[in-house]
Amino acid sequence: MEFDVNVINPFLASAKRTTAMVAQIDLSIGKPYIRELKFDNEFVRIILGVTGAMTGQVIISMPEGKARDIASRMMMGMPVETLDDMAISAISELGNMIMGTAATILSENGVIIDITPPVVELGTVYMNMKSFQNVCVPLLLDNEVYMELNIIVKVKTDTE
Amino acid sequence: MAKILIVDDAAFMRMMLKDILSKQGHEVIEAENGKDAVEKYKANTPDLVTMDITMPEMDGIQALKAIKAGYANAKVIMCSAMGQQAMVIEAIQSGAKDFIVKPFQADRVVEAVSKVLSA
Ligand SMILES: [Mg+2]
Repeated sequence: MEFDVNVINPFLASAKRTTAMVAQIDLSIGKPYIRELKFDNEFVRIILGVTGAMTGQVIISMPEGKARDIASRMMMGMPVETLDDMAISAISELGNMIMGTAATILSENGVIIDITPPVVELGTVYMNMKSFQNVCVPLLLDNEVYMELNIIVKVKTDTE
Repeated sequence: MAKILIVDDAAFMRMMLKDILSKQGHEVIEAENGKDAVEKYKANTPDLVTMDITMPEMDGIQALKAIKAGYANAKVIMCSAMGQQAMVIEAIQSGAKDFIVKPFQADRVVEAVSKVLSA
């Protein structure tokens, strides 16, 4: 398995920092693996496009219960029993903040990216992105997967 | 108390900002993208705008420029997750009064708003 830590690390640092700030949780970083882009309906996906010095997508996938948990934490403990519009908006904005913070960290190393507005998706899906490799990094809380960052990006070379 | 236009594509973020600002006694209007923001600015001429950047239809930098082109004295505070230095500089050069990076603490918003309103 091959991937560039300089590409992956800013997203991990950002996810850890952002979730600590908006939800007061301390996620630990699990072992990265290459993952097929197949998701079943137990996972909620927040999909964000990346353009600029890197191109592709980052897909934040969360078990449905964890998505409701973080939405509740973000809304100061308001109970979230179903993923309604406001809860979906909260996790969309979580995705936006994770990516914005990652973009800021990358820019400190001279890598300028832009991000697209988040799209939240549920249901089973298989994505065909053959020319891209998905590096998936689990983020854990109490030894359980709380979210996974699927980093599906290519770094643009000078010749492109 | 002031009339404040909150611009963000996330209903969640508008709710958070509305909560902070209405507790300060401000009247709040909402817009969900840059295009909507420009229209609501014209219709309501608010005292202050909080402006997100990453939004569909028209982004916050374009909306800032459009508002400033029509209303040179418009007071706009950017409120975005995109904290790159070049982005901050572009916003300030385009006439934004402050730049709050998300996620933020409520105090940061309260301070920025009262400072810009009293200037
Ligand atoms: Mg936004």
